[in-house]
Amino acid sequence: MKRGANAPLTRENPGLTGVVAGIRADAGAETVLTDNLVVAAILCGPDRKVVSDEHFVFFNQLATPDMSVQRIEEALGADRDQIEIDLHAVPDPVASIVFVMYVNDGLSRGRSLGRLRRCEIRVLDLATGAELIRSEDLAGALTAETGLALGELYRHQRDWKFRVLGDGYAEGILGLARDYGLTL
Amino acid sequence: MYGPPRTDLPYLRHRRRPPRAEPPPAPVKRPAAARRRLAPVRRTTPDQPVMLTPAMPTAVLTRVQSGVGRLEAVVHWSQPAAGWLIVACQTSDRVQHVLTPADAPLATAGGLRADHRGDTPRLLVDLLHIGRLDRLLLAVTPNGPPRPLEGALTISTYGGGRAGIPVAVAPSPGVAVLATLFNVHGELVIRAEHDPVGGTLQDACRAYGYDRITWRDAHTPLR
Repeated sequence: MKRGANAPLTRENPGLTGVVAGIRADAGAETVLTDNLVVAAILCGPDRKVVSDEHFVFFNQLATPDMSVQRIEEALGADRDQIEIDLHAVPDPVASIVFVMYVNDGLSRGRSLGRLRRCEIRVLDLATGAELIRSEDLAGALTAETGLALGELYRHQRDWKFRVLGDGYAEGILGLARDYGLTL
Repeated sequence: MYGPPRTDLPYLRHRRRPPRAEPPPAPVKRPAAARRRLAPVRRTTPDQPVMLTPAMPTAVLTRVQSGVGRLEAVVHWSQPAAGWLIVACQTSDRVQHVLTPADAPLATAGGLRADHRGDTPRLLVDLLHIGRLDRLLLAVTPNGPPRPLEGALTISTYGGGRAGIPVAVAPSPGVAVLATLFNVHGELVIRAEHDPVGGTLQDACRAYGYDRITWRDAHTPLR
């Protein structure tokens, strides 16, 4: 799927109860970049702002309070990171779940996502592991960005759909936090 | 689910223990309204810095603030370069180490970077390593002969939230502990100590449960 494209999930797969968002990122020999990449999920309300600080799922907050969205500590297969979503357990105030990636600005600075060789997000059936959706390679359009909104699961009427975003952020997690209302 | 045993708890209990010579006070039944309540958790945001005082010494960072970017602690002296910042750290596997300016003006260890290159010593904590960080101690000592150490310690989140701790240490050749940080299930708890220990660096570290450090002398940890 290309940037901006969307696809139905539960309408096409009526038995679908949960999905896994898998993120693949290849930085080649850029181990500093690889070591500082962080993948997160932001659960947003209808206003596209995070529901609360507890609805940002990443390595230091492995699940939402209701456990509907959980980061898998050891990703399976070739994915760098995987996040499980129990679609039936996602609370009603959550209108969308945005998957993001950023370069942590710790002690090693100066790395950007433009050095990625490949970057994809895919959606798997939680029950069977079958791949339902895969984005195009998002790395080609990146240059100096240090943050990236990869894609989003969102409610559409009574169903869930998925959209590929591919939106880069020059300010990294600061820009993502500003757009999605996260307090840092 | 729970981290390794806390080595600092005996010290904290010791501080709260009443003197042995006094008999235990008779229990007094207080009306419910007069019972002491736990202080509410204080958070900081970019719009709302908090000041940590002896009366209200703690603030708690959210898991997001404790895991995104870096944490920066800066000692703003009233007189330039009045003192040194000393950092003791314990990792989740209970390894302890100390960063002092004697190591290097810019010393890095385990996701920490202590910077003494300017007049305002600072510490950077790479929060990508928060899972391996158990606790920190921030102390100061005069740069030269004893003199009053005045100013403020600020601890800032990546997004600009800030906890401020006023510093007013009487002239002493020893070490004063300004703050401790504890990782409590992913949330960093900042506690202002305002503790003029007055002894050596070794005394200060031992007083706060950093008792796994090998010392060359009372002021110098062994590398």
